Amino acid sequence: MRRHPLALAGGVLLVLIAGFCFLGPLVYPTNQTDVDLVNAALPPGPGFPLGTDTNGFDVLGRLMAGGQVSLQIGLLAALFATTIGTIYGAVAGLAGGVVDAFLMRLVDVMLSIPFLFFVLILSARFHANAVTLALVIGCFSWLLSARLVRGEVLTLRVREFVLAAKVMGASRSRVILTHLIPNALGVIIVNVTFQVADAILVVSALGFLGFGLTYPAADWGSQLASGVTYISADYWWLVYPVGGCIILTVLALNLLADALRDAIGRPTSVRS
Amino acid sequence: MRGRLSLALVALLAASACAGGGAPAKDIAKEPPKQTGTPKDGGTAVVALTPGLSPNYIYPYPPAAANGTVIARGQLWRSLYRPSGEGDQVADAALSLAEPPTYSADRKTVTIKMKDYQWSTGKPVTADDVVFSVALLKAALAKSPANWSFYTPGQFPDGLTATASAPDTLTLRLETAYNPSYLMSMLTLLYVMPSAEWNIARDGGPHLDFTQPKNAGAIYDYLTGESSDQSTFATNPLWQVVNGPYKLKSFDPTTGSFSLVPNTSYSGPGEKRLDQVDFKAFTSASAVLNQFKAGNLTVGTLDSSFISQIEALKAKGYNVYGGPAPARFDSLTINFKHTVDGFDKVIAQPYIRQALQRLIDQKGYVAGRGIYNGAGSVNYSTAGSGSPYPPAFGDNPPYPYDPAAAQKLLTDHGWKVVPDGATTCEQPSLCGVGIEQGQKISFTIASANTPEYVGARDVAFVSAAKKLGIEVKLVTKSLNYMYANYGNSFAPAKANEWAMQDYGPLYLAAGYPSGNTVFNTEGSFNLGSYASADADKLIEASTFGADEKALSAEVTALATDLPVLFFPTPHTLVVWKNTLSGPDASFRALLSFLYSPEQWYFHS
Repeated sequence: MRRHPLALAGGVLLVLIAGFCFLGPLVYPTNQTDVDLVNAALPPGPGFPLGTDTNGFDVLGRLMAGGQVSLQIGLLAALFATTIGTIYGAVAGLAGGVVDAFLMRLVDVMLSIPFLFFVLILSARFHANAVTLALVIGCFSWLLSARLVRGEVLTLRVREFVLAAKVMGASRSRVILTHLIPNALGVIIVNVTFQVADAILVVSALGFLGFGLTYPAADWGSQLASGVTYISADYWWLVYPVGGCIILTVLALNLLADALRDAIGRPTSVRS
Repeated sequence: MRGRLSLALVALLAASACAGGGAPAKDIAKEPPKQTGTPKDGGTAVVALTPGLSPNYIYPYPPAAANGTVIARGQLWRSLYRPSGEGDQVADAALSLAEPPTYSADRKTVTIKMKDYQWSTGKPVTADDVVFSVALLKAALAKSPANWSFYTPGQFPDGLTATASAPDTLTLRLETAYNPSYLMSMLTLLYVMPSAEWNIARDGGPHLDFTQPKNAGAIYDYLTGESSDQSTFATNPLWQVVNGPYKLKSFDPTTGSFSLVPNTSYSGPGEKRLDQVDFKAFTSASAVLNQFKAGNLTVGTLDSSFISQIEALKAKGYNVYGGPAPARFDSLTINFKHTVDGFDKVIAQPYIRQALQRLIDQKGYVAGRGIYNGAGSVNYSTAGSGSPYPPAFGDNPPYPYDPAAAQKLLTDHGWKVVPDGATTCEQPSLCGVGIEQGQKISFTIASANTPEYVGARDVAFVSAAKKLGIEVKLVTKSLNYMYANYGNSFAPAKANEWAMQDYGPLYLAAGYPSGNTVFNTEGSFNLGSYASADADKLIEASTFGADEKALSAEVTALATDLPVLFFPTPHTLVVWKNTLSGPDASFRALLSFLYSPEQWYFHS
């Protein structure tokens, strides 16, 4: 970390943001369920450090609540995507040949589906909640993880320790779980960090398009979308704080991921 | 993906940073400025269409399957009587194709004298053209009752025989006498089409006797088929035969934007001084506002979310005035056939609806800076603000905002109210038929994703309900999805997807806001399957009876029985460049989305 001041900054920032979102409500409890029309859209001032939104919710408290959901979705989507992608990529890489070709063409086909378009269609039909959003995002995000891990496995599978394990009679699943995945862990961890950042942005984008979570749940994207409608009324406190939170969180995760990637010494990730 | 999204968010924030505005304006002009200036010939007016509604059909009666929005409604083909857009009259006599009707003593024979209007071909608009239009409307309904949203089986145009007793004299014979105002509201929806040019069933085919239902059906199929080809809207000779003040010059199927040029044969009021009128389609109200700020639009409407922009728009050289559109009401439409969580049993109880209505803080919503921002009117009836048929309770609504009274209603009927918890029925004998012990009040509201005030008022309602232990789940849906899927009269399979819905405003006929088709049991637009024998009787009286006061009784009964939960009515802001002028009424009519650009002109 000392050799990576930006990574240090990213890590510290991420801890601060997580602390703000999850510990903040303990220090600064607010009512995020009861609409208060009398105190709606108040600018920052006494009692409301960051003002109130158009439903009268305290913006500072709403940022914490929205951050919790956004981070949880990001993390859950990233874990889901990475788990699926890792296993899929490892199987493809180790199997090689026709199986590998088939599995990776399937990935290519799925990558050609416009993600936001697909999710918007889904959201028109189904009601979104934090878990379903995370699963839907994860269902599309594992494709990149699969490519990365497959590439890593292709280089690992011809290494001596893998060949030795095979010679000693290790099963395919044992080779994958005991030798390949642990040795690809660096790439996977870096990818998880990027995935979290991506997922937070996707949740924000969906919320901005009006298909995020609905009251009483809050997420940063929906907050931003609601705030932008009123920016022309000079309700700046509904836009800049939440916009800043999204940018800082994504920035922190990217700094951390870049540093981890450098530390592991791998080339730039395969990304769209 | 990350890179693109990051850029989008940064661009969004940058764009937001560039936006600005003044403090909320409280002094919205209630009337448009008087007609002014010395008219100049020429110029192009650019009109903003209602955001989210892009025209995709040209034939005046699109079949239900086409899910069509008609292009330039009223500009190319006028209805027999032009809707007035004023709350106190059904039709605009000056802009109508015919003189006011005369009725026989039993009101079953109606004689209508046609005015001296011409088709763009130079031929006169005759009574035969009206007969043709009635025949084609009947042909549409013979194929599917859903092909006309104003249709109730057994009513207009069923039982109507239209004949041309002379080229300029139309006789309507009715099996059942209608209330004259109600009949007039139907005739404002009867678009007059060219019988001499459109009475064919194929390109270059023979002219058919359209009074034969079989021929009328074939003609209808042909015309709707031609209308399905959007690329030929501006070039198909059929669509160039018009009786309205304009002809279609171009249409962009991708966006729904279109341009009109004057029909030089139009003989109605209006000087047609403008060279061209461009109607631009938009997907959001914010985009319309931005175009106004850029000075690219001449005329348009904005919803009350943008009340704070009035001063900025005035500074840009625009006139702005606002008010509630006549016969408009905003509500939560209730789905009485929604069975999830026993909702149908619960909502069938009038006291439950009364309790829910008492949770809507209409004055608070109007004043709330995040909802109507001062630009709204309290409203508890289907007649809307300033109607000549107001409910009997006047300014003292039966169920005003009163959460304590709502709680008492529930406890008096055997419910155990648990604020912020789960209110349950403890005494089924008091709760009502079909409600069992332990029953909760839990349901889903489908809320349109635009305009902004819709979501804001729904959240306020959900929050108030939660305080009374009523669990309401809010789901956001696109307006198009709701229009296509959320109505038991046309999408019964989706009944369990929504318990209530808020799609924004509903407009009844200005001048005679009857709830027929919307609240009668068999109504084609009875989205939530509301059924009340009492309401049916009152609607029947206002539809068929001679006494127009019956409509007040209907309005009062509906407001009391609550087939919907009433929200206050947001005001619409009408915006136009101060270099454009015309009769005041032509700008007031924009509240009802009635355009009369033939009466407008630019001045210095």
